[in-house]
Amino acid sequence: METRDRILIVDDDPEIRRLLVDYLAKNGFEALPARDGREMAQLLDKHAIDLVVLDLNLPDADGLTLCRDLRSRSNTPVLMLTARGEEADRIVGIEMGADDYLVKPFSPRELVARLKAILRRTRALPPNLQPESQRCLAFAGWRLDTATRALTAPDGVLVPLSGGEYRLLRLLLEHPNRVINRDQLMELIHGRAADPFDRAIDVQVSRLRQRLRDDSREPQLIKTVRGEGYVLAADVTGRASCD
Amino acid sequence: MRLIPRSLFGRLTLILVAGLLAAQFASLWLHIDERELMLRQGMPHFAGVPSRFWLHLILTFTAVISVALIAVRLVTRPIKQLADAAEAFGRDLDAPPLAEQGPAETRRAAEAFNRMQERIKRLIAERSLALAAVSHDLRTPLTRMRLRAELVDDEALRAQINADIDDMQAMVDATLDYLRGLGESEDPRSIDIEALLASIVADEQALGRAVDFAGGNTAPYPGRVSALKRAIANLIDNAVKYGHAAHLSVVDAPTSPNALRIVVTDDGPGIPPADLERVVEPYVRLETSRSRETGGVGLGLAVARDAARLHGGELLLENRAEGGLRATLTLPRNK
Repeated sequence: METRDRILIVDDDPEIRRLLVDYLAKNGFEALPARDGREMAQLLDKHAIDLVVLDLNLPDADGLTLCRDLRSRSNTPVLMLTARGEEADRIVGIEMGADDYLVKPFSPRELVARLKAILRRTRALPPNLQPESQRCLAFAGWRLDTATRALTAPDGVLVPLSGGEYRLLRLLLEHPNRVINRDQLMELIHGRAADPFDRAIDVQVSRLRQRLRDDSREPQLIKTVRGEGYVLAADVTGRASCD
Repeated sequence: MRLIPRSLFGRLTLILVAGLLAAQFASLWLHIDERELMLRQGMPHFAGVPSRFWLHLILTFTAVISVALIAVRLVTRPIKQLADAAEAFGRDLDAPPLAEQGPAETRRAAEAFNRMQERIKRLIAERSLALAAVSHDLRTPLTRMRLRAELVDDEALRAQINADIDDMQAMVDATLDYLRGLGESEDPRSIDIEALLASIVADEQALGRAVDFAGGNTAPYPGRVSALKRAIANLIDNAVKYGHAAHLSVVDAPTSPNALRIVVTDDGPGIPPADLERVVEPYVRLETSRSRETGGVGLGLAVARDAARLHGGELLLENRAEGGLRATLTLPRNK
């Protein structure tokens, strides 16, 4: 039997803690509850934790501060829970190093899907690029803000991306100059294996090229490696801000 | 035929010009009377009105009109400023207050206006805060309910509970969205509109909704991206909910090349003509929609209209001749 991933749940609402622990246990995780920052620190010391689900509003400490402290000590991925859908919260959350975030009330199924995706992502393909703060990824004159998900063209025009386009671009930017095959892309973006005749990834790549004004007949940014996959042919630098 | 001008500027000018002219003519008349007297008493060669009289007349006219124009401008300028300020405040709650200066009456009007602006701002802020607090506090019990619903073994019952929670959450989200739209100040940026629409449509399609985008090339538009996103998403929501499908297109308006038009059409029954204007007001829902299983609190179109107005534009709803509703967001390029 494979070992279960251990999730630490930090939330100040006792009912939500209890319900989440039960729900995650039913879905193949081992979940530990913590009421506040102090309990969270104690549990992190005692146990090997695979992922932390962290509520933004805690009684004794700000979830953001906890997230930043955690990030400075370890690579344990963090999923942030917030009761506010405001963009500002998401921005700080990502800046403080959260890997993903969910707005309350979230669907429990969605939570499990996100947890699996984060674990898959951090294990299958550890990013080449892990700057301290990677809020802004700059490449070939373009800038991608990972908090607002805004892509800015070299001429300063804002180019909105769909969820799929963003995930694909983010993945390519985290592995610049490295060929990623279609199976990996499919698995990491859609969470399912690609069947040999599935063109979903190719369609998405061609859309993304269009957004990046990359000529699909002679692409300069996202190149096709025949029989293997795709590669981002540009150097990527992480910056604290896209401004 | 109207003799009295419509504008205050015109009226005051008329009064001043008439008054000054009357005074001038009176003095002129007295003058001529005097001179005639002098002439009759011994000065010969009086033949008609001397040319100096015409010169006098022209000079008088010019002087009177210029003085009147300047005077009237001085008086009406504060009123125009007040109107401009009210206009700006209507569009943007954070518009700067009016300068409290000038003559006493003007200063008092400006002070009163500024106090009113403060009060309205405070009222809106308080109302938003109260609604946001309620909506916000609902999220914790809703989260618990979602988790509890997963404990229900009866699949049909679980689906019903989840559907109820979805409805409640949609109401909370819509209210928060609407309040955010009223209070948010987002900096305008140059936006690739085609990419904006294509990205929204791709996300909607990923959710399995019948949404298509005809494409269309337009120059980048300087706007507020999250306000526009919310507006378009709401129009799509409406089209899908009441009209089975949403068809998007974007054009530079043919009549005025300086406006962008984002059009969302659907295949539904449209809206009774009498309700077309009313339906964009906040919290207005039509009877037909309430009796159907469509949910919502009636804020979607209000959010879209507010976003259009924020950009100096409008939201127009029309029934299409071939059936279905056409919602047009007109967004001027230079405001």
